[in-house]
Amino acid sequence: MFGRRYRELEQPIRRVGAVLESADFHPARSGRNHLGTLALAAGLPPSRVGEVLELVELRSAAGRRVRTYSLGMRQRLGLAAALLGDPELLILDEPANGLDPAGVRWLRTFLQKLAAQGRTVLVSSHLLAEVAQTVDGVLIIDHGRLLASGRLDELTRGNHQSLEDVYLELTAGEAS
Amino acid sequence: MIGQLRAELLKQRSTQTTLFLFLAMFGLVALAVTMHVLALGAADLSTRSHQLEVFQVGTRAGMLFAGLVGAIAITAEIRYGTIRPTFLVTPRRGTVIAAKLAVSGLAGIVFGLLAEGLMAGDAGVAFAARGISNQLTGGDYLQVLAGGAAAAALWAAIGAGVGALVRNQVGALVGLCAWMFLVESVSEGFVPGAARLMPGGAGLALAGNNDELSVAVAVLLLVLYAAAVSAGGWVATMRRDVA
Repeated sequence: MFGRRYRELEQPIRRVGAVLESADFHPARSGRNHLGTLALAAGLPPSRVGEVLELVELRSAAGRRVRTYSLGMRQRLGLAAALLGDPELLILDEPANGLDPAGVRWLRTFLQKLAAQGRTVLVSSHLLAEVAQTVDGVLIIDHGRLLASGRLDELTRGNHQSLEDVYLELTAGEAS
Repeated sequence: MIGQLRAELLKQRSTQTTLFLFLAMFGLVALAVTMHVLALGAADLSTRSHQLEVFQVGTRAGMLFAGLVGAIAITAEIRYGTIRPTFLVTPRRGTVIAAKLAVSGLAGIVFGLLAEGLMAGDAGVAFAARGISNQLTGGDYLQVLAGGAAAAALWAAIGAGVGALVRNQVGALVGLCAWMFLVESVSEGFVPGAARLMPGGAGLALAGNNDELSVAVAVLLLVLYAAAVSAGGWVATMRRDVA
């Protein structure tokens, strides 16, 4: 990552923000304290916790225990944790899983806003229709092998094909 | 490292687990000491060494609950998956383990002091209620408190090491309780020579609850146990994948 192993990065949380699972919280800890433990460990100022809570629109629920959060709120808390260090790269594994339509739209708008700020947002997902509405570039990986990469409009030939068609064509060719 | 220590302290404070453990310890010590003092004959409670033996209850409770605090510090992170963000923020895992050992040790001191203090108060009241004269000196109380706190701190490190090795929370907690209440208790009956060298036995000698080991040997043994188990947990944490 950035030419070095992740653990060799100085303060990695300031370079990379990652959400690998949607449920990595202690259910009895409040959202604010969850972020507080991470901010303290990273040497970030406590004020940063309030800022990211504001960003993901969780400030009013910050004092509640995570066990009372909906799935969408947990996804947003995970995003807030990833954003604590104001990183230039975000890595999100299946961030839209289990979200209702309003949550999916919120996430799409939010991620596009982050990308517009100049960050790189890498999303791994099986929800291809949703991906096609959100991203600029696509990497198609099947069983650990990179089958295609490029701009979304190039891969879909100017939207003449759906991303799903492209994916199924490529992976079917791989299987045969 | 300072930030990691503060983070671990906040983790201890920000759930009610520590409070529940303290309340459980409080109940256990109060019940066990009261029953002990009321059940034994006055002759069995008349000497200083008999009275110090009664104080084993507090030392054992302090050590056991400190061990549970140490084990939960690691197994709760694995159970709830918070180990992933923890290691993403601090990928040098040794720093995380060192901070957990330090904060667990600190919590162990607090649990040890509370257990011994509670026991001393409870036993004092129970002795007085039965008209038994208290034979313990200021020095005895000092050793019970200081030794009990030190033994509990080292048991917290043992608990953290066990947690890192076992990883399953229920398994680690049941294992620690079974060790204290089954393995060590049964050994005391059948192989007392070996029991006094075990982590619990050494802790009792450190707190002055028996004189079967010198304090220096008890300290050395407990430090060795704590170092060996926490080193095992350390190596396991460095090597194992975090799924």
